[in-house]
Amino acid sequence: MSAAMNVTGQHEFHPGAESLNAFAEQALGRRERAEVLDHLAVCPRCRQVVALAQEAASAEVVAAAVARGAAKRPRAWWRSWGLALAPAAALAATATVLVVVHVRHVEQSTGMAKVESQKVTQSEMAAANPAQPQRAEAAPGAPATGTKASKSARSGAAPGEVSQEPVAETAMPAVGRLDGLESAPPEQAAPPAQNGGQGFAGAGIAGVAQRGGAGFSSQEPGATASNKKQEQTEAEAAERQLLAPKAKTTAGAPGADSGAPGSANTEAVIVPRQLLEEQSARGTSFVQREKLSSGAFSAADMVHPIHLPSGLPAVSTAAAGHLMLVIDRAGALFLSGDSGNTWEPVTKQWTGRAVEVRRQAPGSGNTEATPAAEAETAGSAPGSTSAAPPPVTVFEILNDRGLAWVSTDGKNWISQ
Amino acid sequence: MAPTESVASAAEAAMPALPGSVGRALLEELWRGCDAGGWGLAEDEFERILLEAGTAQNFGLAEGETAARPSGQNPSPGAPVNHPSDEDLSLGTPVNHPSDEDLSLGAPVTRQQQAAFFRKLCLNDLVLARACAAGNERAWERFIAVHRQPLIRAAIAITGSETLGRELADQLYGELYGLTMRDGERRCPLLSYRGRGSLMGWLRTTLAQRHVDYHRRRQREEPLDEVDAPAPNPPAETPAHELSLLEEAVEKALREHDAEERFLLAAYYLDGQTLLQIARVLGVHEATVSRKLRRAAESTRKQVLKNLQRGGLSRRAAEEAMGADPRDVDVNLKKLLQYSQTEAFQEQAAP
Repeated sequence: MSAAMNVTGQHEFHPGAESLNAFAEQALGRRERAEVLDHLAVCPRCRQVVALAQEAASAEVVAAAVARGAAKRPRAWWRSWGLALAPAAALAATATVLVVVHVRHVEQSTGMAKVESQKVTQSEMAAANPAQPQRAEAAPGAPATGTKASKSARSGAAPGEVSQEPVAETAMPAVGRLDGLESAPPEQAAPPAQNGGQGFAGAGIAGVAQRGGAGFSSQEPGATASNKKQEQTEAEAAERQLLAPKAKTTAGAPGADSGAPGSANTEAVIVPRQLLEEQSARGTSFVQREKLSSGAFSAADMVHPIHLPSGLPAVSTAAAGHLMLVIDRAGALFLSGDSGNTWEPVTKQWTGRAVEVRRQAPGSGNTEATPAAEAETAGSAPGSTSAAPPPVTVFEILNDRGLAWVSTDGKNWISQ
Repeated sequence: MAPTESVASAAEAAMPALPGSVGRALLEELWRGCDAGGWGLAEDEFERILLEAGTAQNFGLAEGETAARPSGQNPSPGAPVNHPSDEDLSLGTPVNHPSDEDLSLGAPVTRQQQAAFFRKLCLNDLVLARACAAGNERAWERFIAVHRQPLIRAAIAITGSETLGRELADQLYGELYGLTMRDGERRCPLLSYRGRGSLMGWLRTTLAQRHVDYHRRRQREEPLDEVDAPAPNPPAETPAHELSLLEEAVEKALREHDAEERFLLAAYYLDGQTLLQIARVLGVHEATVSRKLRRAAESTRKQVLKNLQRGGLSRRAAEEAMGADPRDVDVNLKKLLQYSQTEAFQEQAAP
């Protein structure tokens, strides 16, 4: 006989279900409980019965809990918010309205600044003496006073003519403008204090003040000290790099530094400008510069760098409203219609390699090169001309040979 | 009864109840506290059930024991009245220390004892079970509504199988409904329910009994040659004399444990139950079970050592003998742990 059979054969009598259940439910008196416990100690059958009954009771408790949980299904989490939803929605709506109002305000101020600067430019040009361009043409290297001088110098050989024909800016002879751009760099003549940069302006390098390289550092209201330092360091490095080619060209044409127009000086100016634009593009973004030009620059704008689809850094930028044009280091042109959020490449319609894109001032036919100075001008003579024509923005591209193409939408370009 | 109850009412409660009746006030109180009226039981039937249940269990008093009657005259005003606790009542502890004359007379149960007895019971379940056993259709409707599904779930939990569980539950339900006939009479197991625990617990325990008995019968019917023969024991390294001493010492040590310790050791080491399972059965915390188990094991070891030394071994030799290979020791722990010191249960297992 097996051991198991021995065991089962030992106890023929067992407590009933009543006693076992009462024992498990602690419902027995002391004496009867002791008797049942004594039996359980020796009876595997009853131990098993009690254990199974307890197991079933536990399962029932779990099932009941699950049933209660299923019957009392928890409310959706968003329902529990209840009354909190209303103030949250109101808060969100308020925030949205504030954002919209802020954006409109920024756009409005930008537009107003442009209009005012345009008015000032037009009024100044209208009031300018016809002899002044001649003086500027004759002595481009002479120190110009204030913005007026720099703008007139930038306007090329005949700013008065352009101001007299504001609408026909696209039909303006490109050669004349290019000559003015390349042969008479006004930045060289501009005093360092006006350009805001020390090294570049002092070295007489074109494009620094124009593209806002080191000059931004002194005008950015939200720029931190580290940013300024970094820009200054980069500018100095660029200056060191640029001194070499400049020395070469100036060796062949000693009058270049003095601002005398000439072919040798053209090379000397274009190459540094391109490099300087690269440098300045690293330090400040397109949006920042546009903000600067519109006078609506803020520290929050510093956090939006330009991310072109090519992945290359931007070397030249121009903008009008939400329309933006950027040339990357490879010479590819990109267009953005939403203030730089999205970019699309522009089919190449020019020869050579595009090195610069810029915006012509509406109605003047002049390229807008010194936004900071323009802002200053706008502030000095507000509302001088009230009946200005609707602004038509013209963008201009320069290739590495100095040829120019113009466009009003940034997509279709016409050679000049 | 509340301790602040007046002496007069206490004396009234101590008065013996009329034979074959339950006090009207108690009956009303119990009827109000019972939900039997809600499912359609008549009050007279309720009274009959109470009387039957009380009589069958002698109102909680032990067999042959009678109710106590206050000795002497009525207690003096203001004198404290000693009320029996529920535990005392259930164990038949005499109240107010009745004299031998009182006990021998077989005085009837007092109303107080009746009330204490009924208040200890799960009266709703008891009345429902008795009404079902009596064939009350409304009681069966109530039973089905309340206990049918839990019965099936319990059976499934016990058998671990949906099919077997439903089969087991249906079988028990048939028995409960009185389909089983014995000696020409309808035999309802619900009559064995006495209301000391819950009816659902009783049903679960009954299911477990059926299940265990079924499997034990099947195990018994299995041919012995199917059982694997144990491998022959390797030659013992411990001397035979020491081994025989060790066997005796272990047997003696285990027999000296009380019931609870033997239950703990058997449930844990033989049945393989977890601490939680044992704790649920005993109604204590797991930590308590663990502590008691550790104490029982340590006590067993000390007792075995002591027994070995009493058998003539030195302490060192006794400790060396304790390190003997258990396979060399011819001790049937099952037999030892299942050695019963009492013959408390003469009740046969439920059929």
